[in-house]
This record gives sequence, C-alpha cells and structure tokens, in this order.
Amino acid sequence: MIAATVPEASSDDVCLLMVHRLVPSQTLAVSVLDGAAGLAAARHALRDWLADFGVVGGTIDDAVLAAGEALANAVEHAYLDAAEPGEVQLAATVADGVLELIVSDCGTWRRDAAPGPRGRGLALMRLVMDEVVLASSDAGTRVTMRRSLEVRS
Amino acid sequence: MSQLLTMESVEQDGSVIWTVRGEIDLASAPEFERSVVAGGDGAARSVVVDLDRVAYLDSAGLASLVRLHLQLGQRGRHLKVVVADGTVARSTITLAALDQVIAVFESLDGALVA
Repeated sequence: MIAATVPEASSDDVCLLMVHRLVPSQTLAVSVLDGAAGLAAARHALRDWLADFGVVGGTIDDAVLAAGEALANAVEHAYLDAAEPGEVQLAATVADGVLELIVSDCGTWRRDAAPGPRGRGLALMRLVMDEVVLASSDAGTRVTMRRSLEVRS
Repeated sequence: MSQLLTMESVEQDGSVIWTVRGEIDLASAPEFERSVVAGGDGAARSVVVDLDRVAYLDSAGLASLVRLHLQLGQRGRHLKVVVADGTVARSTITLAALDQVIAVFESLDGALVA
C-alpha cells in the first residue's frame, strides 16, 4: 500500500516533484479542467519540464507559446455548446531530439467558426514549430506539433 | 484583478503610461484591454503600454492590442507599445508582424518623445 510508505504530510504532487527533479520524465501530461483560468498552470508546467531538460530559453518560449495557443483554442472553441468547460489535455514528449506536443479535446471542431484570434493563433503555432498537424473527428480535435530541440550540453 | 496580471498607470508629459507585469492570455486579455480603454478617457493624447515585463503574450493579447489601437485612434489618441528586443512579448508581436500595424518602441523614453 502506498499510504503505508509515504509520510502523512506528503501529497502525490510532492512525490512527483521530487522524482521530476532527479530524472526529467520523458513525458509530461497535463489536464486543463477549468477553462481559460487553467491555461497558465498548464503553460508553467510545460515551461518547468522543458527547463529540466536543459532546453534553451528561446525554444522554451516558442514551445510554450505553441502549446498555449493550442490549449487556448481548445478551451475557447471546443466546448462552445457545453454548459461548463470540458477537459483539454496537453501531452509532451521528447524522443531523438524532437519535442512533440499534443493538445487534445473531446469537443466539436467548428469549421464555420469565424477567423480572427483562432486564425492568428494557428499562424503563430506554425511559425514557432517545425510541424503542426490538425486532426478532428466526432470524438474531438487533436493538434500534434513537433520541433527539433537544441539542448544545452 | 486577475492573479496573472498586474497593471499600474501614471500620467507623464501628456501620456498615460501603463506598466504591465505578468501574463496576457485568453483569461487575462479582456481585463488588460478594459483597463487600458478606461484609462484612455482623460486629457492625455497618448496611451503608452509597457510590455517589457510581460512573461507571456498570446494571440488573444495581440487581438486586444489591435482593438486598442483602433479604439484609441477613433478617439484621437495614439497607442504606443514599449517592448524591447529580446523580450517574450516582442517576439510574439514580431512573429505576428503586429509591429507593422501598431507603433512599437524599444524604450519608454523613445515612446514619450515620438
């Protein structure tokens, strides 16, 4: 039982943080449950995770911007018809020197949505990442973005 | 006020100067925009927005800047954005080519004499 081996005061968060600092995890998974208000926490988690890898500052800023735009798009548009914010997920992985960011939601992709902030956000994502792929179905939308990493040696 | 954002304003040499700290995103951009619009009602002809200390600026914030530029312009006032090269906000503004639309300055002094 985990409860028997963990001091009373420790939360799961604390344990995760300790592991995190010793060996950067190869994957990061963050959920945004509370709409726009939760975006900053997801960006901060990605920023910290990338910094642990020794990713250089400009690349971190670019990746955080791309993920932030994709998350904001999902929060703003995916659950337009829903009574309360739906879940939006960010998954980040690093493999073979390539950062992959996946932002997914279970909402409805609005092809008829007016351009504007959304169009500008997508343009920014394409400018700062090497590759941006949008996939949508009845089950939701998935944005997959990749970028080669420069890591400090 | 949102925890993401802090804004302070002073009037100097006929300009309202806003110093913005924190993050401008989908959640905080409306508040950023409302504050600057409300502060543009006085006698000052220029509204200076200093984004040097902004740690994050996204497309919602860019859209706010464009609307501020248009709204203040309709009222005979100029929006001037101070944001030094190499800052996060400057990077986003340059990527979106917004510096072709709004007046962007390297320094506060430069914005005030322009």
